Amino acid sequence: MAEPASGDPLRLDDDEADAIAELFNIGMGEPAAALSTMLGEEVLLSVPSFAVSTRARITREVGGDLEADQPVCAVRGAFTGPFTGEAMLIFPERGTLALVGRLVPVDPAAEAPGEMEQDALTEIGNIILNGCLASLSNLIGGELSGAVPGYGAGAPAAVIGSATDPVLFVRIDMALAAGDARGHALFLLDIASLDAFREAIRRALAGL
Amino acid sequence: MTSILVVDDSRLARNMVSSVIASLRPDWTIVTAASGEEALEIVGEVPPAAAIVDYNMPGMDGLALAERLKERFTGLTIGLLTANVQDALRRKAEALGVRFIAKPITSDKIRDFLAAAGQ
Repeated sequence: MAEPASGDPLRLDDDEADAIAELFNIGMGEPAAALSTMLGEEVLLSVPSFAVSTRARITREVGGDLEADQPVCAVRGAFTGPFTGEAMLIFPERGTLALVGRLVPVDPAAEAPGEMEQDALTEIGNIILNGCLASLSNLIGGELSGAVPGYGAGAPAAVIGSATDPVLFVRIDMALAAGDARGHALFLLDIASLDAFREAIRRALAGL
Repeated sequence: MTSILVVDDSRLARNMVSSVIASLRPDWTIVTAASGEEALEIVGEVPPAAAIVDYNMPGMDGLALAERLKERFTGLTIGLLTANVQDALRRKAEALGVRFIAKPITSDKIRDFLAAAGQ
């Protein structure tokens, strides 16, 4: 496949950038509705943004947004298929407790999620991340399989990473309508698979 | 001359909706805008036959735009085009008298919308 005129293999043209954002926008629709039904509350989603970034930069951006580098809780899973990468759902600890408190009784004195709260967040992450990957698979007419997502917590750098290799980064901000739980769905795509991703997008566009 | 307003921040989505409309109503003029603000600026005073607006856009969202369009054109048929298929949003759209069109867009969905708009 021909590279863009710039010769920079990481550079996406405007149409590709627009298509990626729109595919993730569509991909998040169904799982957010499923989560909303589960919680009995509206889930607000931002317009997806994406950039070629690094884990170190994403940690700074997202960690800075999430209550000044307080510990975060994450559900993460690798996905493979026409392209590969890692999907994550990240909430600050307090936001996690507010979010899972809709589903399971949470000890009001708890500062950090216990085992039951971690399980609940993992299930939410599973619905959101695998739901989005499933919608994307249908759109691109290929199969993306996600590993069962796992729970992790710690400083943003420990969860997201601090590597400086380039990654394609799609970010969708999520919040409960009540405003007490704000987090992010992040999709980090391996650059080695960017060509495959481009090809998948072309197929998706051709199929519309 | 019959026109239809299509508003979506995604060029991909605008192109998809436009191409479906062009195949269903080849004689219509399709007016596109990338934001609510732009739509209000270019739509003018002549009512379009219908409007199809995306919900999730930077700046003014699709419901706010629908409200403004309804103020300007009483009785305008508006479709809210969105991947966000949550009941809460569906109810807000219904309360405004706006039809819900779930992304991804298909020819059938646009045909149903136009039929419901009496077009």
